[in-house]
Amino acid sequence: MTSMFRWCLATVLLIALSVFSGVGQDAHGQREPAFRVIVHPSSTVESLPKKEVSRMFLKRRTQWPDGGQVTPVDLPESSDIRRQFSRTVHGRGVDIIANYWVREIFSGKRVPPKQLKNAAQVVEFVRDNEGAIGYVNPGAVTDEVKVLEVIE
Amino acid sequence: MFLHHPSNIDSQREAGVRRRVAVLVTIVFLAAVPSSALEIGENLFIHGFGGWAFAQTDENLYLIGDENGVWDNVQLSLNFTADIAPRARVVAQVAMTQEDELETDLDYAFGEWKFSDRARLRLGRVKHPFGIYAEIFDVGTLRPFYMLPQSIYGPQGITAKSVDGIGFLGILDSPTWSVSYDLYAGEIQGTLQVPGPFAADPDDRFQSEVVSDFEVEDVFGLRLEVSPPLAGLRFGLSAYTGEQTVVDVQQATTKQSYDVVGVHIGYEDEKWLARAEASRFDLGDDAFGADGAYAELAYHVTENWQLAVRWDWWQGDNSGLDLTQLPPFVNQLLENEDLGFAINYWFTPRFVVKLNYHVIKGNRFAFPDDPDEILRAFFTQQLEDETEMIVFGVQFSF
Repeated sequence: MTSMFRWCLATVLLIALSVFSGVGQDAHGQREPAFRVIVHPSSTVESLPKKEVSRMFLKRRTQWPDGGQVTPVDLPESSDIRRQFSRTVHGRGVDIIANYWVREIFSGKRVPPKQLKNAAQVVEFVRDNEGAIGYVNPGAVTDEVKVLEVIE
Repeated sequence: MFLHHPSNIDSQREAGVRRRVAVLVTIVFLAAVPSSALEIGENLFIHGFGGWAFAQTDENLYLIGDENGVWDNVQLSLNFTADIAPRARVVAQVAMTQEDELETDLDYAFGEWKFSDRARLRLGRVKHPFGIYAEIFDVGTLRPFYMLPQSIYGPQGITAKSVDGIGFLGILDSPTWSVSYDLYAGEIQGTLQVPGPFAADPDDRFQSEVVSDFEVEDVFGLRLEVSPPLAGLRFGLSAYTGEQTVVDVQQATTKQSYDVVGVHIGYEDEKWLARAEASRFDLGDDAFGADGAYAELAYHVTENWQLAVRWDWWQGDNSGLDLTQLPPFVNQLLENEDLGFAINYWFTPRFVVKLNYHVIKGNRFAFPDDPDEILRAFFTQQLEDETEMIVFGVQFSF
């Protein structure tokens, strides 16, 4: 009986958590993305599926649809924006992605994207390199780069 | 039995002190390694990995440990990648290990031309793509145990670090599934460690172990790995075939077929890691064969603490062996079963301290350190077939 009571309590708590986790969502129930994926302003690509964006940052897709070279840039592993990007786009935490890169490096397949120190450097890099793709917090986006829509 | 001269004892003590100082310096060096790659210019990247371990057994010699405790298991590898053109790059990896003597090896060195993401061509000493671990042989931050499972990756002729020849690889993606493939051809060279009684040279048959190189020529192989939509899950198939030159007791040489096939499956998320592999090896029509398999499970209790368990099993066939030429305890030499437990502390995903405990049954890799004990076993008809080992070590990558 006590055990059943604990299970019920745990279930109630889980439901409560899932309800209150809705705080911060807008009127349509959509959570405001914590980051924007940005590309060079001359890019003809308007949107990409999340899986494709993930493959570009994992360097498993290295060409844009027009044939140009994809050049992804990352923020530091300690960055909150990178953590949210990793969780949202790759569906995995930063540590798992770090393991992926260790495997890729030492199996001689690919090296990780260039890592820049902050959002301002990412915007600058994307502005100056045609095939570049990066992600920054929404407040860091400027008119010098183009925001790419990431679709499910 | 030899008596030690006092001056010899002093020099041995000095050597022991020097060795411990070297180990301490190494540990300090390991703790101070950079957390990310060294980048020289825009196109040259230097990464590395390594480790150090102390290993002690209760009786037999077992790979990196013995009864007295082995302190100098030290290893450092450096990996160089140079993008020399948008579609071309050169990759090389050098390994330095110390077990008594410092040794340097070229793990691999190859040039690669990328036609597209679906097709890349490699020439040179390329990695041996087999199963989960063959391409990342000594990278300790990618596994829960200090040592690899010996059933597939031990010095028994199934996997090697590299293939001298040609490789063709790529990724085939669908919107949800992904398949990576590796095809290769050339020559495989690796390390083979056999119990003394199996040694080709009769003079070595009372040694505890004989370590030599093995070579497989005219190799053709493939590995296919599938990643389904469930993030973190992958499974695959590896196989290769080739020929090995075998010298028989009359010193006549013959070429025998050399066939290996394996399957693997793995899952990894932030908390759990589960991996399993199985393989079958055949030399000639019925000269020798062996089966191997392992399964490992690890769980991160907290972000830093990890617990792991592994079962690792290898069994050789005795049907093709001439048992009249072999000792009565031959079946013990054809068996290895290792149950391992690990408690690891991950300072970061690239720096880990490991404490492993192994219980080993069988004598494929666990031999008496003293040749006299092997000689005695010919009369008692058995070797000590259970070995316990403890390993304490640190592994890192950058």
